[in-house]
Order: sequence, then C-alpha cells, then structure tokens
Amino acid sequence: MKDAVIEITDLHKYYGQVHALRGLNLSVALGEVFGFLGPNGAGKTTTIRCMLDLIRPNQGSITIFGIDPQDSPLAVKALIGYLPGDLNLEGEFTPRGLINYMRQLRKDIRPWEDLKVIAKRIDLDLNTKIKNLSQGNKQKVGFLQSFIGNVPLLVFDEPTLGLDPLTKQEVLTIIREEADQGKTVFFSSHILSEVQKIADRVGIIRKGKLVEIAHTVELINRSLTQATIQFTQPVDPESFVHLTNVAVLRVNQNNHAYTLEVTGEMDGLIKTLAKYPVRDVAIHRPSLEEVFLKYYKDESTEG
Amino acid sequence: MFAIFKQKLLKSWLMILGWGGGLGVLGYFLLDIYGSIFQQNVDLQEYMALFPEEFLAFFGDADSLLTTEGFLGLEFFSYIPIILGIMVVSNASNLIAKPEEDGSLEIIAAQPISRSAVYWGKVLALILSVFLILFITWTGMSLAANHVETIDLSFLELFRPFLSLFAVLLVFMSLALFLSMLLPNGGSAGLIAGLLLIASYFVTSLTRLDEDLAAINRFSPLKYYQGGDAIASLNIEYLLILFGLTIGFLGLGWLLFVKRDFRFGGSGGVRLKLFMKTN
Repeated sequence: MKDAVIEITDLHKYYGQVHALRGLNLSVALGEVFGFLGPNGAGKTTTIRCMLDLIRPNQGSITIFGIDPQDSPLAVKALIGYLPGDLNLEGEFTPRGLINYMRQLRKDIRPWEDLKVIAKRIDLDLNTKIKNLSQGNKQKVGFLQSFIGNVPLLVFDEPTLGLDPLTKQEVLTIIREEADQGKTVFFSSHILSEVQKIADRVGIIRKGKLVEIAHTVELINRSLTQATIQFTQPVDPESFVHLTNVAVLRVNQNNHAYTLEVTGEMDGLIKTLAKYPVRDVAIHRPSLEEVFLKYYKDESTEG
Repeated sequence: MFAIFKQKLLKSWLMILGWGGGLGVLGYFLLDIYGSIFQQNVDLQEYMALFPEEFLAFFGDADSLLTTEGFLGLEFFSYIPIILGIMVVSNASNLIAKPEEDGSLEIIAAQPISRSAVYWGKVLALILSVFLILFITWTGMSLAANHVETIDLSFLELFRPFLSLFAVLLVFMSLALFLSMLLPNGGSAGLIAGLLLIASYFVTSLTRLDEDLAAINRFSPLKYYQGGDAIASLNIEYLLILFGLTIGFLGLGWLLFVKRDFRFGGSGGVRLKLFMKTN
C-alpha cells in the first residue's frame, strides 16, 4: 500500500502451544482511522503488542513508518501514543502525577494545556488518586496519557471500555478530530457501532487471521441487504428466479408482498421490479454488527 | 532511566524510613545496652555458661560476647541477614515481575525508553534503597558508639560489617530478581529465593557445628558474609565473591528481560514445567 504507516506481513505468534496469530497481513494508510475488529482472543491485543515490541512475533514482519519495531523499538515507540486494553495504572499516582511522570519518559511532548483541555472534555479530575477512581475514570486517565507525545500514530486497544455513553461519544469525537488533523489511528474494538461511526476502514480478525478488510461503507454495502417490496397486484415468485444474487425469504399468501435478500448490487432487482406495479419498497442495510456476526456465524458453521 | 530510578526511589521512601529507622533505633539501644552489660561482665559470663556450646556456636563465636564485635555479631549481625534478606527477596522478586504481571508496566514500556532503562532504573533504585536502610541503621549505631564510653569503635570499623551485610543482601536481591525473570511469576521466584536464603543460613550456621558440611557451605552465600567479625577486619576476597555473584545474577536477569516477551496477563515468558504446573 502506498504511504503505509503500518505494514504487517505474514505475522505469526505462538504462546506455547497456542497459535495466536496465524499469518496476519495488514496495511494501514497514512491519515486513516482503522478499526480492528474481533472477539476476545482473536489476536487484536497480540498484534498491537507486537507493533510496540512488547512481545516479539515468531515469524513475519512489521514496519511502522518503515521502521521495524524489533530493530528500532525506541524510534517506533516515539511515533506512537498507546492506550492498552488491559489497562492497569499505579494507584498511588494522581492522574496529574502520572502524566507528569510519563512526560519525563518522552522527548517530543504536547503542552500540558492541550492535555488539560482533553481532560476537561472527558470530565476527568486530575487530582484524585488513581486508586480512588472508578474503572471508567481510570480508562479516561489511560486515554489521556496516550496523548502525551506529539505523535503521528495513535493506537487504542478498546478505547471506550467502561466509559459512560456521554464520555464514549466525546472520546470518539476526539479520536476523529485527531484523524482530521492528519494523524493515523489504529484502534481495536468489539463494539461495532463505534467502529462504524469513526473508522474509514475495518479489518476483521478471526483466530489470528484477517478474514476481511475493506472500507467500512463498502463492507456494509457489499453484504446482504434485505428488501421488503409491496405490489399493487400479485406477482409470481418465479419472476425473481433469474436473479442470481437475490433470494426470496418470505412471500405473503396472495403474492402481494415479498421479503428478499440481496447480495451486492441492487441493479438487477430494480430493473426486474420496474416491470411490476410497486406500492412500496423498504431497504434494510445491515449494520457493521450484522456483517461482523455473519463472519462469526460462518466460523461456527465451518467448525 | 533517571525518571524510572527517581520514581521507584520515591515510591520506596516509606520502606526506607520504616526499616532504616526501626533498625537504627534497635542498633542504638543494642549498643546502649552493651554499655550496661560491659559493667556486669562477670554475671554475664556465668549466664552464658548456662547455654549449650552448640547453641552458642550456631549463632557465632560466643566466647567473644564480651567484646563489642562479638556482642554485635551475636545480637545483631547473626540474624539480620535473614530479616532483611526476606524483605529484599520479596521486593526484588516483585520489582519488575509484579508491574509486568498486573499490567501497570505496559504504558511505561510503550514509551520510547529501552527495556534496559526500565530494568536498571528499577534495580539501581532498589540497591540504593537497601543501602539507605543500612546507612540509617549504621547511623543509629554510630551515634550510640559515640556516646557510650565503654565502646571503642570508629565509624569505619562499624561500617565494615554493614558493607559485608550490604554485599550479601545484594546477592539474594539479584538472585530473586533473576529468578523472577526466569520463572513464570514473581511469587514463585520469591518463594524459591527465600528458601535458598534460609537454607544458606542453616548450612552456614550448622557448618560451625559439623565440619562435614564445609563442602556444601562453599556454595552458600552466607559463608562469605562476615557479620560482626568484619569489625576487626574485612575479608576483601569474600566481598568480591559476593559482589561478583550480584553482578552475575543481575546480568543474567537483564539479558532475560531484554530478550523475552513482556508477560502481561501471563502471556509469554519462560516456563519451567519441572517446577511449576502451568495452565
């Protein structure tokens, strides 16, 4: 991919006997928001930790801005702001103390004022000890610390975990704003509605392998669409037989109403419908959640 | 590295003051009491005669109890490696393994700092913490030595057994740290290092009663710990052996830490199935 920020090729990772990543291939372009989808244990966190050289792959390669994290881990980490999925913070710090400490670990840092603005937007009290904060507030601290560095790549592992709906919304808005300013965002999630909301592209990982990668809209469009059509007069079900991408799901008793399932393009169906007196057409596009579930349904039927 | 070192040291201030202050007060009063005992040495000799020779030999040279060196050796330096040793082993085995296992190291490790900086920053802070604990204890004893008339010890003479103690504590600290890098978790490393400390203590103590144990005792770090004897003269060779072991264990621990995966939530790491049942 041209201008690839993240390039992952044939990545394998074993934990003892467990084959966590099985030849993962992935590419993320400059300036895009990439949603990395998968259920627990699919390999999302393992992939991210390999990107940061926290763990090392057994096979395959990763480059971040053309740099191999294993060869130059410091150079790579200097380019990334990271929110871990299994966030655990030292309880004796206040958020302010933690941020101050972590600012000492980086060279190119954002001004404190910028961080205070983010803290205010997500309603985070900087002066209460972390051990006294709720899980949601700890998540806010984790989110805030990922903005300490002046970095071109933000990596979030389940960024909205444990947040209330309002903060969740604000966090997604902030992520989108960062992307609009030219930053690349790579984030994993299993909350599909939020991926759908902000991701330009989506990758779906299953059992350590990427099973789908596409633009979010394209992925939704290319999937099954349900169409409910009402006619002013009965229509023969045989009328749809010649359409290979259309399946008839339901027909009412007097052949006045049909529920059809369309795969991909709607063109053939619309041309066929034009031959009949149509009263109403209702199209139901699947959400990303339905698309995602389809992949996992396929998995269970395979198994 | 300095930020990690500073943060770890600041986090340890309570441990330093608690242990250092407590032992410093103990040391002060021990020497203060010694002044009174010295006045009654005839009574004390009669009292000591009541104990079996083996009992007294286990804890050191009881014949010299009426000297300051002998008294401090028996009343302080004979058992303090066990007490401080357990504290040091516990701290070292959790130094990196605990934040690694509970995940709190992850956001630190994701910053542009090397693994070596994380390792040595924390290790040097722990070494300095141990040094400060001993320094405060030494200060307490020195104050007492200065004001008790019957004690004729210079600050340097009193410093020597602390140097020997420092060296042996570093051995068990570095051993526990090395094991925490090798074994699946910090808890098992602490347990094994603690058992080795106690075994070493018994082997070295029992060797005074049974010379047949001398061959095994060569491998006991506490053999090279001089205790109260160091007040009279410090065995540099023993000191170098202890520092050499420390450097060796720290180096091996460092190599393991920079080469292996972080063990967040139990992922990765070397597992010794001979010792541990893993899931």
